[in-house]
Amino acid sequence: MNQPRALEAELPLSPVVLHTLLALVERPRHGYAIARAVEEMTEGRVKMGPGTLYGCLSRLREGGWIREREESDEDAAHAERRRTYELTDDGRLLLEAEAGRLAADVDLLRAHDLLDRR
Amino acid sequence: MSATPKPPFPAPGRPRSLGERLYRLAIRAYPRRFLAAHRAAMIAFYRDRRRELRRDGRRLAGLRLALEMASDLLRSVPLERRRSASCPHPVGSLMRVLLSDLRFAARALRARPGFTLTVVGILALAIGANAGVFALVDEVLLAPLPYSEPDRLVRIRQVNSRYELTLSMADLLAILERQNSFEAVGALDRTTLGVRSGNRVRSADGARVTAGLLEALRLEVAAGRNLLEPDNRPGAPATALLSWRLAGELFGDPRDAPGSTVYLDARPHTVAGVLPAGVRRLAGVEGDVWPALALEPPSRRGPFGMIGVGRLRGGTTLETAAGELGAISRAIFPLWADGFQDEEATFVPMPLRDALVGEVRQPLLALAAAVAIVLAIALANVANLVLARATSRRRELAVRSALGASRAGLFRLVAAEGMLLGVAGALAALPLAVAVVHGFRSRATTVPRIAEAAIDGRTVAFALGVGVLAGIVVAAMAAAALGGRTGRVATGVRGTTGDAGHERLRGALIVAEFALALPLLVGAALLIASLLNLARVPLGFDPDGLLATRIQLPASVYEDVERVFGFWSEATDLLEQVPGVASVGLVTGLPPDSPRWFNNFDLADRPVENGTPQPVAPWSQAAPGALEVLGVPLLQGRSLQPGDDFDSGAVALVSESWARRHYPGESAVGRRMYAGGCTVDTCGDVTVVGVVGDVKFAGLDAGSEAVYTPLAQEPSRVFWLLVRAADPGGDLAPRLTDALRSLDDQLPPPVWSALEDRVDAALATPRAWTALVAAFASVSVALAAVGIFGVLSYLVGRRASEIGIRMALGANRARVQRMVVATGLRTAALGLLVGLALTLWVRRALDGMLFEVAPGDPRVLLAMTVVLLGIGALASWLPARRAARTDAASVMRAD
Repeated sequence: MNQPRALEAELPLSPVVLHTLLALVERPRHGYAIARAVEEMTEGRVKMGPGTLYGCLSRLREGGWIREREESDEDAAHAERRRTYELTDDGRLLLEAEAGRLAADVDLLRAHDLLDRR
Repeated sequence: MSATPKPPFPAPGRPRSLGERLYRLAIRAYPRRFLAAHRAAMIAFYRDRRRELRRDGRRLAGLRLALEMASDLLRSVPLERRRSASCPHPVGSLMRVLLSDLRFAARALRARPGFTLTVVGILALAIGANAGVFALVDEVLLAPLPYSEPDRLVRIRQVNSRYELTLSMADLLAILERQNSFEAVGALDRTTLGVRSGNRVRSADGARVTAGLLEALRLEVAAGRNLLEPDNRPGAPATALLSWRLAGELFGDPRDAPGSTVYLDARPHTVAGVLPAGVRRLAGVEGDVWPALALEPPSRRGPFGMIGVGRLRGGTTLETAAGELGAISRAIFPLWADGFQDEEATFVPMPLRDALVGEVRQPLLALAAAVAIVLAIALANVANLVLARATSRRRELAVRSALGASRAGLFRLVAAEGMLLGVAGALAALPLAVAVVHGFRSRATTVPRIAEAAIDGRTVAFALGVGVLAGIVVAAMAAAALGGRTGRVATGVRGTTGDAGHERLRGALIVAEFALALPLLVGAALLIASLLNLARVPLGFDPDGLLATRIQLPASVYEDVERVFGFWSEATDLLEQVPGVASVGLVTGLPPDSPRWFNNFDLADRPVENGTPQPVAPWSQAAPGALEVLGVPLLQGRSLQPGDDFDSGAVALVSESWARRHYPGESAVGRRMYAGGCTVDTCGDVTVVGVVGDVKFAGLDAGSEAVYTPLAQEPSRVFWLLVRAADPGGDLAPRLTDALRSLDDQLPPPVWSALEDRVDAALATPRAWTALVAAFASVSVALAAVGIFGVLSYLVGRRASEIGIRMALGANRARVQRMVVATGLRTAALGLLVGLALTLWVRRALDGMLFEVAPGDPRVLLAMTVVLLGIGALASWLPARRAARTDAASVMRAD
């Protein structure tokens, strides 16, 4: 089993990674559902095709940020649909670390009057 | 969490769409490990996405899906292959990969100059022709008219069941007064005027226009003011608009023109404004001078000749306008019914675009089809070349594979080569495209809007698009040749299983080439036959050594008819005295396609039913002796004489065709008719006093009916001076011009044209069409011949050992030769069989374009089939000879 690398070394997260992790915050999802969720939450700005998606999922898995959920009783024909991914604790921590970084940046922008007053 | 990837899921067994099959093929570019882990999941992703796009009913769902997958592949494939440790994907690496692929491909192509140049050459030829035709079609058919909201512009015609009448002043005034469907309506009355400013005199074309016309076109002036409604009132001071070009010629700086005076046919006009530079056409009428039309209330329904144009009100449809115009036509008929009884005639609106280019749509589309055939044949040839090349590259590719190049890498190399070839072909095509456009433009001058056709950004984009398409074809062929489903790149051993499939594919390509070449060749042959028929049409007069110039006497100077008569006799006398002149005549109409007008007439003893349209014929006036100058023979009765003037009865000469049409089997001499709406009570009748030989007045492809009345009885200030030279070779024009100068130096300098040139010009446009199609057909036939030659040579080379064995076993050379030729002929014949079916389309495409040739003429079909078979046989014979010369022993030794 790979050791999760130090969190800070992973930051900043690329948009693809960030949104993938975000898509898994609520609940585990399978591949296509992750891509759909990302497209919806970014209103179409970030679109992921299968190659990008699974490439990212591979690496996140290798880093220990997500894991595959074992499905035990499905027959082979439908199995590929059910390969769901879920966030690990390390993954959650990574997301929180990125959130903190982004929040600090937002404060900086706001201090320079560059953000709309909402 | 496992460190090793799970075993790959078995591929789902559901039926696959074409897109899915392509996607499955494409993802083989990913690294093996990645594929093993995710292939099934990615395919499931593809299906899910496809289902979702189609469920949402997105337009072009297939295209969107393809684009999404393509961009995903482009992003992630290089990434995965580098097995980078972090997720973000810099764009720079993608570019690096693509560039290295291109460099590799370029090197590979440079190493095979023969192949590369041949392919690029063939592509350049085909793409160039296509781009050229595209430029023509783009400008003439696709480009919108240069007015704001051009789809709302409408031409108002007046037609009956048999011909078009155009509009008269009575029609125009009625429409202006009663219409509601148009936000602006106007008219053009075409004219040619003598223009004088200071001491510069010249002739200029144009039209009298109404303010409504400029309003309908929403045309702004570049200097001065536009024409307004008061300018068109009868009695208003004479004003005119000039083109930028003419204003510059007359006044130096066009902006100085407004407010100045210019003499149009010796009548002073104030220049109201100047049109913007480059605007030399209003609603399709070309010209430089646009005086205001005076809306004088008419005394009768005719004469006709005006072109009506309107802009539909927003929200009004063409149907509504048509209904309203029809009602106006019916409403005004009774007002003029005593002089005009064509109750069928009605006003009809038609989109202006269609009115201008409708006639050339069919020929242009036929041309586009022809050039598309050339492209298809060229692509088939290129595919054949690539297949042949791929087979002989097997060894090279096997070595590359053994040295570590992955399948994906080889695919990319092949794809990059294809793209390079396609794009190179497209770029090399541009000079040919320019030549096609220039050549056609300068010859087919009667095609509307052709003068603006040019190679522009759209054409270049089109050429590149076709180049990319060609590149894809090349790449697909090469990829298919690379290897089958076994996934192994074959070694250089001959006779591997892939080869048989290739052979069939190449044979099929040749069949396709011949199938496509036949209809194109038949089309070209039909057009050539039509052109020859047109050129052989008997003119009815003798153009040899005949010169003509158009004279327009200004009304303000030649006010009364006596002065006009005076000019005629003085001009005739003066010119007859010029050395080298055999005879001089005066006519108002000139063959082959410029009668004075088309006049309607009602035969006194066979009038048409009340309310039905009267027949029309080309109608011109001639001075006594003019028809003799033209060389038109007198067949019956008498010719026109000096005695035929105002005081004697109205007479006319008719052509033989006219007599045959209206009085078949009888003599037309002595018959009477009411012409131009005249009746017993108004202007009386005209008596036919003679029948003359047929002359073409309505164009070479029209009938030969014609009517001539004495110039003295229907005088005109506009006429042609005809001069027959005693010696056709001499150059009379300058001396004739001097003679006329001495008579009246205020007239614009006369332009003398030879009748021979006018006849030739009438053939220029059909000739241009035919030349292009014939060129395309020749290229297609040449490509097909080269194609079959190439395939058979390849076959002979591949089967060399087999041939050697046969010959060692006793087959003589002649037999071997026959075998090869038979193979070639079989392929060609199969193709021609399919091609015969395709020639049905040729009939539809050329319907109406041919002169005295039936589109389905079986002789042409048979002849062209034989020609192609012969060419196929010839192209097969050369490789056959090579086969026959095979030295059995040496071939078997080499194997």
